[in-house]
Amino acid sequence: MSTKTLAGRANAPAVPKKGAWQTFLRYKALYLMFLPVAAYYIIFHFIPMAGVVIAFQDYSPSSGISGSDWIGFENFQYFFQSVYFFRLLRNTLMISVYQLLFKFPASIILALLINEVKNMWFKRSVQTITYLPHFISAVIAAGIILDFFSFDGIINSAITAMGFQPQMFMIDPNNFYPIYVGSEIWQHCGWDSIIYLSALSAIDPTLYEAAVVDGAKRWSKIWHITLPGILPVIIIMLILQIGSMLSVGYEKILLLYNPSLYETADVISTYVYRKGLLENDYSFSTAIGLFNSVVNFGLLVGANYVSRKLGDNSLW
Amino acid sequence: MKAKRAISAMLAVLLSVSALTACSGDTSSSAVEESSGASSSVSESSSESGEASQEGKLTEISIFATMWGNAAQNLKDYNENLTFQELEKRTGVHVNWIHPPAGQDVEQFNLMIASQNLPDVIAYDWFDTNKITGGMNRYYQDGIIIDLTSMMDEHAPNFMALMEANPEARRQAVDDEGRYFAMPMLRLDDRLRVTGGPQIRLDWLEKLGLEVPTTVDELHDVLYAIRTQDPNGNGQQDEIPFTAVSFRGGNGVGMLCSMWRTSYDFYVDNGTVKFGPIQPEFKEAITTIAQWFSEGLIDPDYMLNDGAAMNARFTDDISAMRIAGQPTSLMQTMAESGVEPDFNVVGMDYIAASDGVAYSVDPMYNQFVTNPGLAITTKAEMPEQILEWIDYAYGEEGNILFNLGVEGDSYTMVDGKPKYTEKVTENNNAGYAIYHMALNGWAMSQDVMYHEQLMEKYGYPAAEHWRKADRSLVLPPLSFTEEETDTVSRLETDIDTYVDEMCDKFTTGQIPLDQFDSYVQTVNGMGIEELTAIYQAAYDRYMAR
Repeated sequence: MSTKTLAGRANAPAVPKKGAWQTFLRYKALYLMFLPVAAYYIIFHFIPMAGVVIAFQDYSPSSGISGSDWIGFENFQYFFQSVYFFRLLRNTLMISVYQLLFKFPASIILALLINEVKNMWFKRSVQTITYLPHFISAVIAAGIILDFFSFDGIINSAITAMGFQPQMFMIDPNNFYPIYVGSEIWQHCGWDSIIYLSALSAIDPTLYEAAVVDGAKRWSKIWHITLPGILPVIIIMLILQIGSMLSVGYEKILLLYNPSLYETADVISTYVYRKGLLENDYSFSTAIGLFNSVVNFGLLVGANYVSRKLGDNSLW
Repeated sequence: MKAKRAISAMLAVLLSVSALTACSGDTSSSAVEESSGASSSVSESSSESGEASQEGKLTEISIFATMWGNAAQNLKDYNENLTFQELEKRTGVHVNWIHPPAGQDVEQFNLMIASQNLPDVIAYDWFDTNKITGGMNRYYQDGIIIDLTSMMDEHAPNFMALMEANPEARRQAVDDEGRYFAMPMLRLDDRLRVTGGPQIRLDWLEKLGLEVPTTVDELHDVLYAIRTQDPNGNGQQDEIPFTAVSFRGGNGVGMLCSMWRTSYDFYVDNGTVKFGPIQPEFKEAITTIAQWFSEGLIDPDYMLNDGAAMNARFTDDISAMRIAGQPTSLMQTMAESGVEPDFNVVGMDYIAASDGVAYSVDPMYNQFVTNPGLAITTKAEMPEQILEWIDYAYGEEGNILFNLGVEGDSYTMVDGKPKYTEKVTENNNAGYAIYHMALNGWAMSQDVMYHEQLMEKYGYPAAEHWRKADRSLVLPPLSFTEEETDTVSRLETDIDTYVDEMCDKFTTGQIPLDQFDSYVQTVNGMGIEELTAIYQAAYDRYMAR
């Protein structure tokens, strides 16, 4: 025993290497299982990242990456100097912030509500009904929303039936944030609640039993047991949400907006669509995509850091 | 206990994340498969044609071609189309088709160019300056396609005869230096190009005892009467006289600008290119349009409409007028439903501007040359023979084959005029995809013989009115140099974004028109002069062709 330790000390640098190798041998089955996953990420997620270099090029598909001219930060400069830069950034952030304020808690509240329902039949029906809108494609969802809010739509019919003047909802920029965020809640609130429901089911029932013995009522059970029980999930979901602040999906906005709504509805991704895809400016759209990713990455790391400092929940 | 909770929470997160990535992963991997399938077929077929050429006679060609909606729904590849089956019999040339999956034509095209895995011929939107930025010359410089100019006289006699007879078509088929890079689809007859314009519910006008309007004031009075006098007879003032799809575009409210001798976009005024939305005429136009909007004469939902919604405005008995494609499908729908036997939407003359001339700013009216175009690649070993094979479609025999199909099969002669058989007409859209190429689109000259059978009943009488319009304001299709393209794409999106936004706001009254002058200043500040100069230069080069 002691000789072994001494021999180990004699050639100290070799020890960790030997240790790592031993660990590897010991868990070789696990490493083998991990191999395809690593290969997948390297081949399909890391190697394609090299393509971001076209953000610094005047890329043309016929010349390829090697043949296109390098133009440095010109694409970025152009985006930052664009007359619309601040408006795009503001709209993107505002929509994200509103989603964090309203959509994010909505799914938690829905999960808590569903969790309190004791009638299984009613509970399952509510769950199914709230999941359904999630499976509607963006095209159809936008069609439904436009039908509701158009000048001769259902909402205006109701308004006129009550004796008021019909409103032009979809041309007033002030209405876009509420309509968009509201429709997002309608579509995804049920689906997003699944993860909280699964976390809720993991809470130890004996905690509730003990609380009842101590005389806790429904509200104090939610406040002192349920919410702390799912807090780690909430924090993790929040961090992930913050990490995608600049990635407001363009599909639905593109289908919903019209020029008179640009003031509040034009976001970075829709601008990239008009500019990059409709005009084939690949480099420019890649540059904006890279900018988005860098900011998102920063936000994610920042949120994680703050969360780790404040409590003990974090992604890593 | 705490560790267990954390683990279950993490599992829950992982579960949902992996479920999401699995969904998105599926689509991307299938796209990869499809694209690799397409590119491998490119290499196969190009090697096949290489073998064929060693024998000295052209026996096989590989062609990359997009099939559009109607064709893609009814055909697996163009060898199932009667025209190409017959063409193979006549010429002995077999075609190996490479059809990109629907909706992926742009990606597949770019992939093909980037991988240099070229077929002999690429049928693509070569004349679409939005897709082919910098013009075909760039693809020639990069060694993708070949310059056909020197071969044209000898190997494309049919096509060159058409060019000789139609100088305007020649101008559009060549680039600024007079070179031919692709063989286009031609629309030489006026009736093929004039396929849209103003149309109105004639039965409502008759019901209210009104004449078809010819001036701006008359138009206002007619629309106002339709708004207020309840022609649909349901006792409610629910009529929306004029409907449209957005402000910009061929179905847009902006098409009305021709009544003030201007446009919602670039146009040409006696050789000078102008940007419509900042002209004094445009201020007059938008003032009136905004006035009409406030009177309820213009669809309050025009910016939300799409084509289907615009049609529904007519079939629902709400709207009376629009500027759009021929009312054929509208009339057929109503005739088949039998709900309203009097329903009658007819074409009308363009409304005259104050100088008494009725202008149209529809760019389609002057497009002699259109897509797809067929370009021969540098990989083709027998370009002359391939060019001859393509040129066949422009000759007399080929013209009939490509427009009508085969006599006794897809058409018969009735009183000396060709008439499609029931095969084509009875299973309506499928027949037009399977038995000839006139609707699918090809390097050929579209013929009125095809078009009048597709459109005769309602379309042609309507077009008779539109063909009278003055088209001197219409800008021809221009091509920009690579350098110009960069500037155009930098400036145009930003300017269009602002102009579209402001036009909607002026129209709906969200911004009063006394701000028009500051709006013009803003557009000037965004570089409209530079952009106009580029358009002017491109126009001058076009005129010099």
